[in-house]
Amino acid sequence: MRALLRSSAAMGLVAVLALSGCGFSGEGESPQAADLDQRIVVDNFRAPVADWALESDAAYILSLSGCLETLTRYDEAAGKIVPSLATGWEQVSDLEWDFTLRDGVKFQDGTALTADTVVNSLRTVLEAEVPARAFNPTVVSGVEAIDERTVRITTPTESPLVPYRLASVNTGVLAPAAFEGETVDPFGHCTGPFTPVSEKPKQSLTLDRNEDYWGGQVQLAGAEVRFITDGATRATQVQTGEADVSLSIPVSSLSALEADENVKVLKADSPRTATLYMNNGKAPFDDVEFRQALRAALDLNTLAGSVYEGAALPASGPFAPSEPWAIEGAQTPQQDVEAARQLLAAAGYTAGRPLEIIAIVERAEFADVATVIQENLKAVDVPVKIRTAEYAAVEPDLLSGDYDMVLSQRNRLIDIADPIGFLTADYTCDGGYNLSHFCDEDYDKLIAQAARTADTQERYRLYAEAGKILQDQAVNIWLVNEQAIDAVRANLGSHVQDPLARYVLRAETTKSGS
Amino acid sequence: MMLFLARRTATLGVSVLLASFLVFLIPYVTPGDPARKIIRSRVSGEVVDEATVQALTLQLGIGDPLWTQYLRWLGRFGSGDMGLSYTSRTPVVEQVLPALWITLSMVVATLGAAALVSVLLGTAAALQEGRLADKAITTVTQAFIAIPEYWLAPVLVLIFALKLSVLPSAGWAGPASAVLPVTVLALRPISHFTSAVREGVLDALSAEHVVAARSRGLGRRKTVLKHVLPNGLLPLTTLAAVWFAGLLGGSVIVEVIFAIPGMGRLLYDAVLNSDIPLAQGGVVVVVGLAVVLTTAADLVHRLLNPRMRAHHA
Amino acid sequence: MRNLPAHVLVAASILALIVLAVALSPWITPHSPAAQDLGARLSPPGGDHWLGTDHLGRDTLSRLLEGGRFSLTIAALATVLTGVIGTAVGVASARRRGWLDEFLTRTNDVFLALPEMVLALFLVALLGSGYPSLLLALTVAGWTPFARLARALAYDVSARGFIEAARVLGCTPRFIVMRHILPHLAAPLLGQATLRFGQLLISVGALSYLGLGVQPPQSDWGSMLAAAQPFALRSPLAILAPGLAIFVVALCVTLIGQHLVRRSTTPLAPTSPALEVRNA
Repeated sequence: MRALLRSSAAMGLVAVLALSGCGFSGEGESPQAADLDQRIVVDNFRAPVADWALESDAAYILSLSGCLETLTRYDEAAGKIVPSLATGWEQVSDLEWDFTLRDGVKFQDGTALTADTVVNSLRTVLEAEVPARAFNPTVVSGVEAIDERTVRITTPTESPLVPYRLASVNTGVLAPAAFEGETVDPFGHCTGPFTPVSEKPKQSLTLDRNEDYWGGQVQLAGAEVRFITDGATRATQVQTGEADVSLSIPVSSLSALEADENVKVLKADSPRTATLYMNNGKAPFDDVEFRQALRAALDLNTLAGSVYEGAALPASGPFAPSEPWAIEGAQTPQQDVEAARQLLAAAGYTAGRPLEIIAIVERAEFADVATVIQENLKAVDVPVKIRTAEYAAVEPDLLSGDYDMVLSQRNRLIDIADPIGFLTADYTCDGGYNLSHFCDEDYDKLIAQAARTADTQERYRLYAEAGKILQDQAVNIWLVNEQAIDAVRANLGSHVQDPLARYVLRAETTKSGS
Repeated sequence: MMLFLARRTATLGVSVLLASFLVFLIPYVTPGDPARKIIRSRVSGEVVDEATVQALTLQLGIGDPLWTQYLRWLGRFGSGDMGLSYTSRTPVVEQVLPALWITLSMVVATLGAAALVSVLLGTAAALQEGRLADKAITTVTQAFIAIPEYWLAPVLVLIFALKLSVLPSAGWAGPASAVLPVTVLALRPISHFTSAVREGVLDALSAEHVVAARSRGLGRRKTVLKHVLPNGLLPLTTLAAVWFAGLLGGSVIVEVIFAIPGMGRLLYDAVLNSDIPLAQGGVVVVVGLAVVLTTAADLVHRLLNPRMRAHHA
Repeated sequence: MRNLPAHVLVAASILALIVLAVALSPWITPHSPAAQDLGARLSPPGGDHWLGTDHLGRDTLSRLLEGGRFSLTIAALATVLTGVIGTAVGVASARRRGWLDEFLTRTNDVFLALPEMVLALFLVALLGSGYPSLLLALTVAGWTPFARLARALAYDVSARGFIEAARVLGCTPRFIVMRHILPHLAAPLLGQATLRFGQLLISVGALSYLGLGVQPPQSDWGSMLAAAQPFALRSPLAILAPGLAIFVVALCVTLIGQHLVRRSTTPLAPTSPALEVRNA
């Protein structure tokens, strides 16, 4: 049970978020079959660590529970921002955005949703001790009520991404009463289809239907969201029927679930790519031919088919092919031992000290991935040793450039549905998370240009161009594109998988009687 | 005896403080910056804002010298305030008490079940001394010590939750969910308890008053119930107290496999997240309770075995 | 040998067999324990792979034999280390008495109460995972039962006439400890050590199971168990085999240990029950 090491903190790193949607809506079930007395159980992969503070990851739990709602939402299928608690928004000056609130929305405690209540809620998040990345004083300088129904957001620099930020679950809105105590109290203070009624700390949250939901009749009578950090347990529970929905299923449990006719497995591309980071600042990795040689030596197809059980696809570069900024015509590098040997010779490499791969323990499969890479590289006479370590323990070495290779993965869309933060932090010369210690003038120019570009298509084109530089220089070896895998019981109706695990319990969700 | 008690009480305090200081050092000697670890446990993602790190370091006072921080904690603890958890910013007490309650109920259930099984098995074995039943019971219960719980637990889940669907696979909600974890936890105590009961009953059987009772014509069943069992059970009381202490924080693996949010799990998470106040509060409670229980067990033991007193004379 | 009970004899034979097979593993494993065959993952037992293959297509039997070397060596080293340290503390405690005794006994109580896993996690976080930290963690967490037993025994021996006689005759304290006290402790401590070996083997497995011990591609029984667990339904043998290996060895040494303890039991004062509990 390496999973033991996946503390709630580690779970944060592991949080599976994903990009495109995929779902089903209870084929063969007529709406009449929906039973209004049914309750369901959802197994979530993390527990609230910071009580219910909205700036923390607890907001994800409140959101997937159908309690917390935001001003805007990111529609996965359409790939754009759509209205939620706000019905419209516009940029009124370089630095100011106005959001118009929906009429007739009431919190579950009966208070009306007004500009003042929204401002109160957003300011609490903005002023938090540990602010959320999507909504913090560096990117948002002010929140104010213009009139009863209009909220104005001010930014320190012009940014086309403000509506994206207000789709982040951390900007969910709670009634003023939620903030009266020392800690945030979401019970009865949300706007969503489900009202939280009780919790068992670190175990579960129980919710009842919101009879007065602005979005229409809520089909389920209620639900329980359980916090089960061990993936194998979540898989087991959806099989036994203890849970109706289990989020984030480990690949090792996949074949068992797919063979079970009472369970449906849902998969969607995730914005996470398992990556072999290489320290470009340290010999022999400072030689592009050496890095390309390693890439040619790896057999990504077999890796995806074995350790990942086919549930992840071999990567063709820094982005997944389904992303709007994917590099056109990118191909998965094929294993070519001969080419690898020639590149090694060209790089003047002779086998010396064993190179070290650090496999972070927060991801159980990385130890196996490292073992497979070790065998691949052995075939081209590059000796490798493996060290497993907790992420926090190796981070200082990674940031200071004192390592060879590290197996890790990173969410490209952690803050908002746009990769600008990732591309800046990870690969620009001054990037705050440039583990590869990569620095390229052309790349930096492209990213700086993209940050100022309001036109979405043009911005995406610039991202793709920047991504191509990374791929051509073999800055890292992108191994496989991971998938978000959820499992649900077959008698669940109108369930739509959200690969970002934000929306699970919805007004439309049904369960047919058993 | 009074001297013994006084000395024990004084040293008890010292040992609890010692434990709290050991725990206090954890985040400072482990690699990685405490502030970063705390931030990561609150918001997912790898990139941490440098300004936030500095602000948090200042706000939590984790940049101050070690001894200042420790004395500050000690001062507050003295007035009954365990402080706020770093990660959740809620009072430590509010997290420790529910976890302690869950662990206590689990330990009580475990020891209760173990005692019941052991009394039956141990007495049966003693009454059949040397015969097949005795050998079978002794061998099987001895084998219990050798079963790794991280092996048994998943296997039981596989059989009873997945294949037979008769018991929940995880959680802590009601008696059904307690069956598997308690079974896994009870095996080792059963092993020790059974052999203690067996010895106790054997001793009692050969004691003069029992032999006398038997010779007076008292029935076998009555003799066992009235004279043998009460004496045979004595060793169990002290043994149970000590096991109680040992299980308080010692059930980490079982709590994790069965997703039970008890003390073992709480401490484990706290250490991983560098949540110093939570780890300190938890350890002080666990160690304090354990030391009190061990002391009580020793006390009972001394009362029952006057020869021990010589050791502390 | 002649007066060994049958079950102890059987246990000893099985143990000897396993230890021999594990010790000879570099020469007798049918395959290289690290050799992968990703096309033949989780294959069932058969002619080429007697116990089947694991999730990376490696031979389970070969890995079992190789893994045993690590598990058994670490458990043995930890037993010796904890035995020596615990005995030293216990004897010092009993001989000096007074505040030192009180202090050491209380420290013992604290270590007994600190959850072993939490302590180990702390040390592994401090020193990085790997065998040295694993060994240190087990030693720090495991010396207490020996100290308690040694202290109780030494107290008892010291109370006897011949120690007083030796002191009166002018023997140095060191001489008394070496010549009179330690020999009397040897037999019961040996029994205790054997029992502890079994428990430590389980603890080594537990820590490796948590990923705190061995580094891939090497393995030991605990890490094999952890790696096989997700595939338990598809390849039951992969999870049964390492678990069974730990169980059988632990059982054999427990049976032998209990025999040794029983044989060495002199009419001593009953010791504190606490020493029964480490590893709960």
